[in-house]
Amino acid sequence: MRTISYGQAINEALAEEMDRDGDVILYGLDVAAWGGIFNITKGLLERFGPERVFDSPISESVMVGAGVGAAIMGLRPVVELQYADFILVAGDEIFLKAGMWRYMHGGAFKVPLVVRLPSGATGAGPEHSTCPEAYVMHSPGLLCAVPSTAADAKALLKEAIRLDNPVMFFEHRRLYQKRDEVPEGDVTLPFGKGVIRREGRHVTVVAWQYMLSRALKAAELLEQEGIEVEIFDPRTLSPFDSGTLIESVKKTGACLVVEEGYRRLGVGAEIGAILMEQAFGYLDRPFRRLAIPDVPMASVKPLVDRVLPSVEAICDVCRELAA
Amino acid sequence: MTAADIVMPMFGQAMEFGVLVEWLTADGAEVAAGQPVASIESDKATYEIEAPVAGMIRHRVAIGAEVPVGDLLAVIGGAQAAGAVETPAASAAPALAPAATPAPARADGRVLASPRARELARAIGVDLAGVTTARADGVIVAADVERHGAAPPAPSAGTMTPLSPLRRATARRLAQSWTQAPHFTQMIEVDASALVAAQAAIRAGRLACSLNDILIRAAALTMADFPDLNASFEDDALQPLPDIAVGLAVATEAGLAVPVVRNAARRSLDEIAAETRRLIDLGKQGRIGAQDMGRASLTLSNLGRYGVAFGTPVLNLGEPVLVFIGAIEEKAVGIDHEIVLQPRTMLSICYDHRVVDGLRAAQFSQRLKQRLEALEDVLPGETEPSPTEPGGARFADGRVKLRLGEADLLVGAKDARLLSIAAALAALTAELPKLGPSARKLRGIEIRLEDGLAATLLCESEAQVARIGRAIEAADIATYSTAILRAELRPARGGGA
Repeated sequence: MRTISYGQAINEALAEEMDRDGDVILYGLDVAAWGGIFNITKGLLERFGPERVFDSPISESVMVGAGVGAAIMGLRPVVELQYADFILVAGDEIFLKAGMWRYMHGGAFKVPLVVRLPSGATGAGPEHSTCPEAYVMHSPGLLCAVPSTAADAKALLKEAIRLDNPVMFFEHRRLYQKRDEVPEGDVTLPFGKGVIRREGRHVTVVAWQYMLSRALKAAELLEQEGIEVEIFDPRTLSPFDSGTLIESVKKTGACLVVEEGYRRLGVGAEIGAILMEQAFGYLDRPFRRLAIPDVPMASVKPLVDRVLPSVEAICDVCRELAA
Repeated sequence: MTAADIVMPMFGQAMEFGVLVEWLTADGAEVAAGQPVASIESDKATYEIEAPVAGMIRHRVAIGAEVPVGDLLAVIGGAQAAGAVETPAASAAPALAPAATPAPARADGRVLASPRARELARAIGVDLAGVTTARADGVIVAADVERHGAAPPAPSAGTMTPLSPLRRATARRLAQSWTQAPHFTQMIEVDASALVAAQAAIRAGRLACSLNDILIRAAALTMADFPDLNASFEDDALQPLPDIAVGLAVATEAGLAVPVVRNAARRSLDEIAAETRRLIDLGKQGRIGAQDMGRASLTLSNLGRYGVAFGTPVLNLGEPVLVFIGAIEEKAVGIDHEIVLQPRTMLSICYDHRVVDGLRAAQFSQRLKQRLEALEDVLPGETEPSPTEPGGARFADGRVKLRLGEADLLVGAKDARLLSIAAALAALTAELPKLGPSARKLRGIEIRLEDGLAATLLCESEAQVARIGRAIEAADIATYSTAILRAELRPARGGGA
C-alpha cells in the first residue's frame, strides 16, 4: 500500500470531499493563497476556486459563527482555526451555537460543520500548543475526533464532513509529517469505534495522537520485562468507545490514560469515571492518569519535555500496575 | 474483540454450589473455543467446562473454591492477533516480590482490597482479613486472593477439615444410598462388534447420534421388558417410578452434562439423540434446569474412554439400577474352537437388592447384553415404518426432516445457516402455501448445529421436489453452492397415508 503523510492525508480527504460534494467549502486564516500555515491545504484554491476556498479575517468568533450559519443554510463548511487553543476565542459559537442549536430548535435544521484544530505541544506556550479536547468532550452536541494515523486522519475527516452534526477535528501538529500506509479511494471510519493498537494482558493503556506513539514505545520496552501492555486508541472522544475499553479492562484489570491535555477534569478523568460506573468489579488496580500537570503549558522545550508524559513515566506507571 | 464470562453452571435441580476441582488451562493461557478449561464438581458428578470463545483466560477463582451457581469462574478476553509471536519474556508474568507480607493492619480495622479482589473473595468465600499481599501499597489484588485460595489449608495436628455444604450433601447422599441399598454388581461381557459398527456409522455420518444414545435406548428398552425393576424402595414398599428415565453420566469430548432422558423407552433413537443434544447444549450454556434432572430409572456411566474395564458403582440415591460400561477392547475369544479377535466390553450392572433378586437381575443383565450385541430394535431399521404422522415435522438422524408427502429432498450442508436458508427457500416456494396446514408446520422447523448437517424436506410430489431444488440452487444460495454438499431425491419411507 502507498505511504503518505498525515498532512497529505488530510489534504486528500478535503480534496476528495470537495470533489464529491459541491456544498463543501473551506476557509480560515491563510488556507487559500498560502496553502495553510502548516501546508495542509496546498493546491485546493487552484483546484476548487476562490468561491469555495478562501482566506478569512482574524476573528475566530466570526469564522465559526459564519460556519454555523452556512451549515444551517445547507453548506458543509470546513473551518480551520490554525491553533486548537482558539476554540476558546470562538467559544460561544462553538459550544453554545454549533453544539446546541440543533437541539434548542427542536431539530429544525442540521449543523454539518467541521472545525479543523491543529493541536499539540510544540513549545508555543499555553495559547498556541495545548490539546484542549476535554473542553469539547465536556460540552453537549459536539463530536470530537482525534486521529492518530494518516489513514485514520483521512477516513475520519471524510466521515466528519459527511456527518450532520458539528465535529471538532483535532490534528496533532507533531503528526503532520508522520507517514503511514493509507488506502486509496473512498474510505471512511465511523465515529465512536476505537481500535486496539497492541494486545497485551497486564495493563490497558488508553492513548491517542502523539501520546499514542509514546505509549507504543513504552509497550515495546515493557515487553522485554515481561509486561504486556494493551493499547487502546479511541479515535474519537465524542462519542467514546467505552465498550471496547471495558472489554480490555475486563482482561487486564488495570487502566492508564495518557493524555496531552491538563490533568484536572481531563479526558482521563472522564474515562476513569466510565470505568468506575461500568467496570468497577473488573478493576484490580487503581485507575491511573498521566497528563499535563495543572499548570499553564510550558513554552520552552526543556520544560515542555518536563510536563509532557514521557515514555519513562508510562513505563513506570505500567510497572506499578502490573506488579 | 469478543470476550466472555464463564460462570458456574447449574447441573442439577438442587445444585446451589459447585466446586472448582481443577483448572485445565493455566491462568493467562490462550484457549480455543470448545477447549475444556475447568473441571467442576457438583453433588452428582464431575464436569468439564469448555471455553465458549477463543481468547486469553483469566482465572477468577482458586482451586477448591465453592462457587455459587451463576457466579464468575473465569473471564476470556479477546483473541491475540493472528501471528503474534509470544516471546518467553512476554509470557512470563511480572515477577512478584519474593516474600509476601501481611497487609498492614489499619487502625480502623479495614482491609484494603481492589474491587476485583473483593468480588473474587466473595465468590469463593475467602475472608480478606487473612489474605496477604506483597504489594507496597498493601492493597490486596485478585492474584493475592487466588494464591490464598489455592494454598492448601495448614494441616495442624488434631484439627478437622470441614467440608463445604456441597461436599457434605454429596457425601450424605452417597452414604445414604450405600448404607440403605444393598448393592450387588453383576459383570457381563458383551461382544461389541455391533457397537463398533454403529460407531463407524456415526463417524461416517450415516448415523446421526452418539454411542451413548444407543446405550440409552438399549437400556431403556430393556427396562421396559422388566417393569418390575423400575421401582424405588421406600418405606418398606416398592414405589413404581413414573416413567423410564435414563440418566447419563459421561465425560465426553464435547463437555459434560448429566442429562435425564425421560420416557426413553418410547422415544426413537433419533428422538433420544435430539434430546441428549438438547440437554448437552443446555449443559454447555449452564442452563440444565430442574425439569431435566432428577431421579432416573437407571443411570448410565460410560468411562470407557478412560480405559476403565469394569467397576463396582454406587447407585444414585433412590434408583434401582446403574449400568457401568467399560472400555471397548479387542480381545482374543474362543468361538467354535477357534481363537478370534473381537471387540469386547464389560458391563458392570449394579442393582438395589431390595428391588430385585439375583436371578431377575441376571435376566436383565443378559437381555441388555443380547440387545447390545444385536442392536436390532435399537438402531433404526430400513424397513421400520416411520412412526410420525404425515404432515408433521420432526427430527431424524440429526437432520431436519420436513414431512410434506411422499418424496424426500435431502439437502446436506456444512453450515447450519445454510439449512436455515434451505428451509426458508422451501417455505418461500410458491407451492407451499397451497399445502395448507402442513405449510404452517414449516415454521416450526428447528435447525440443529452440528457436524455432518443435513436437511431433509419431504414433499408431496417429485415435481414439487424439483421446484424446491431449483429454488435452493437459484439466486442467493448460489454463493454458498460449494458449501452445499448434496441435494438428492430419495423415496420416502412409509408412504403418504
